[in-house]
Amino acid sequence: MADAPRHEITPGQLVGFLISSQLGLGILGLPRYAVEGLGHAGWWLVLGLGLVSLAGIALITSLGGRFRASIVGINFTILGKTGGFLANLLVFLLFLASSLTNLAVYLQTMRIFFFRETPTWVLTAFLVAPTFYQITKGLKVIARFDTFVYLALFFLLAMMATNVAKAEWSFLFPLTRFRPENLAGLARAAMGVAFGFLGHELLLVVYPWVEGEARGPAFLAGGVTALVLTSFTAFAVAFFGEPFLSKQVFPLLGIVRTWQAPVVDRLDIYFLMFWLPAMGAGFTAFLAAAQLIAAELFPRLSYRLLLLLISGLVSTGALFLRDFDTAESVVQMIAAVDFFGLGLALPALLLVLARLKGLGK
Amino acid sequence: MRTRFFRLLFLLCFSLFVTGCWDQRVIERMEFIATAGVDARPGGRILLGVITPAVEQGGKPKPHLYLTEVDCLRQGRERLRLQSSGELEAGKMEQIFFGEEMARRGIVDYLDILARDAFNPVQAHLAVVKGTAEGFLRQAIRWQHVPFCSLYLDHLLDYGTATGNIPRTGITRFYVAYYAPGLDPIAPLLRATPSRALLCGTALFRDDRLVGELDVDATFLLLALGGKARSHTQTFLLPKDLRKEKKALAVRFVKTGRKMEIRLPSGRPKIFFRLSFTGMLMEFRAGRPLQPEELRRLEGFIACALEKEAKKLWATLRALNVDPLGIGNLIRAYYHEFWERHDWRRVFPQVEAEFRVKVDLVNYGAIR
Repeated sequence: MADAPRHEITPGQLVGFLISSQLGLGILGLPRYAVEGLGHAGWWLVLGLGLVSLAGIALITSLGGRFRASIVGINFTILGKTGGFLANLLVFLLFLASSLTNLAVYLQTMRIFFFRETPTWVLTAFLVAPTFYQITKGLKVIARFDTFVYLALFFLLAMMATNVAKAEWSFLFPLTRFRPENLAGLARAAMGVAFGFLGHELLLVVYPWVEGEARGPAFLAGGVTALVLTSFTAFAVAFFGEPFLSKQVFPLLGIVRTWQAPVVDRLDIYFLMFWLPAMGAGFTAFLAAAQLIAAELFPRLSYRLLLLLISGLVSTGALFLRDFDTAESVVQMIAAVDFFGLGLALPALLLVLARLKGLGK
Repeated sequence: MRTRFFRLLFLLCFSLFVTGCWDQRVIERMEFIATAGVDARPGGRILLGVITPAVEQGGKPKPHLYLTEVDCLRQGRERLRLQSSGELEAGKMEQIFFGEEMARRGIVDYLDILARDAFNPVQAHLAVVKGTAEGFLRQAIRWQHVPFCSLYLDHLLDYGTATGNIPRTGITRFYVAYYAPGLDPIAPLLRATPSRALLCGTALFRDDRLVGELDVDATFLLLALGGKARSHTQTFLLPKDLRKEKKALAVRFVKTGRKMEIRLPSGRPKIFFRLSFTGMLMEFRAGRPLQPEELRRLEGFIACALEKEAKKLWATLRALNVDPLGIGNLIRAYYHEFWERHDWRRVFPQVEAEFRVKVDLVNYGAIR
């Protein structure tokens, strides 16, 4: 793979990479998912999954620190050649599926809020092109682009601060009165919220490319994400109230539509201008992860050819998820498998096996 | 060098395609709805009226009124598109007005398109007009002394909100109040005169139906009870013992404080309001320099008058069974078991409230 680009990133870039991959698209529908599951106290679910995400980060960084290799190498070391290959194939497929779901959500946002009449394949081409370009340049370039998320975050906080007077905080009370209709409803909500936190498992792939200490920055990114997502969910409940919030397709964009300023009037256009790169970053991160795994699994194939194949596969897959409800169901299902499977169960299992076999440092 | 040239060429060619694709909107070929009005018509139909600015080169925009009778708002826009010179869009709509009868019938079904279509501005003012929206719009396009009626109405509604004469209600806020349990929506109320629009106060809704109204002073008090009042100027008729040549005095309130306590004595909610107003004496003729003790007497008189008005306002809300203050929402939040056991619509008319008002006149302007 002579055409492989540079992937080394600094710990600071890792923070931006993880935050943008989690926040960019995950935040859009998150408050609705949380409220659908637990009612007005749904932000507890977000906080809870934020803590689970931090636990996942702890497991992955322990595993990464033990082997100083990506999940591909770790799987081969612990599970052997055949078992490792099968596990890696599964991991690859899950990351591929995640990038597909991210692209599907990205497309739905574009179709509802911006481009209704433009054919989906044209939109897909336009959305995939910058991602394709960034991945050809490597993780380093992707991570540099991801620093844009801080600007998007600033706009998000500014929006919340300037709309605080419109929020009715009593909508958040009683604080601990949950409304889980049944366990299945709660599980469904957790699946949706998992999509908000999807991204910490990218550490499984990028860990060995971090130059220096990765544990601290990863926790910092996870903490920031959990804090932002929890506070935004609470804010969305206070802004819309539980019944109207559950009617919002993407509550973030629903609040943005009401954002006003003197002279310029509607601020939603400006907000989205800064948030679009963050949305793109979420998709880019997962496609990059799938590409990095494929590059490790098939080292003899050309890096760009592999990327072309993977991008083509993901783009074609996203074209089939045109219907919003179908796309959302698929997104939630894959997000849950990724979040709990890749981000929690797999590293935990590998850590246990590594300890039992006495492998790694 | 050659690679760079091709990259540059690619970017230039690429930029030719970045024109909005199939969703391209050319402003010159569009006509923007600035104001919309909706009236009830027999058989569940509605009359939709919209004002668009017809711009002439070098001149001020002239309002152009379209009217059509339809079953739903989107059908109305599509009908109007058959008459308009450009593509009619509501993305820059500043206000939507509902006629009285329409508002009594219920308006939430007709707001749907405004919230659902992401291109529509949900922060547009939502208001009720006395009489019909059609009549209001017909008068509005004839106003000669305003720059452009929609712009004038936007400024009027903004100013009215800032001076506490009307509440600020956009489409989203109306929806939030409509859907929230234990909270009823309110909207500004106005009417057209031959030369201008006149702010009348607040339209009170039960769910999404207009059931009553408040004048501008009662609106300020309502906002004060809700903890949302800002500044307001109010006139009070003086009692005989305080009256000199003038029958009234005027006060400008600059700061309003509210403390509210909900108690459940003997299983029925009772609300305790503590209101404090800080103001300036704007107009009062004593015939001699005002003494501090006289000022205190005036404060007591104004406080007493406001307390009476607050009681009257509370009686109105109870009689109409509307809860724009969201007392029910607070009961739901802090006394949840009571909320779950009772139907708030049945409870609210029996809820009693106690008011204590304190007025602090901090100065009397440039003369004593």
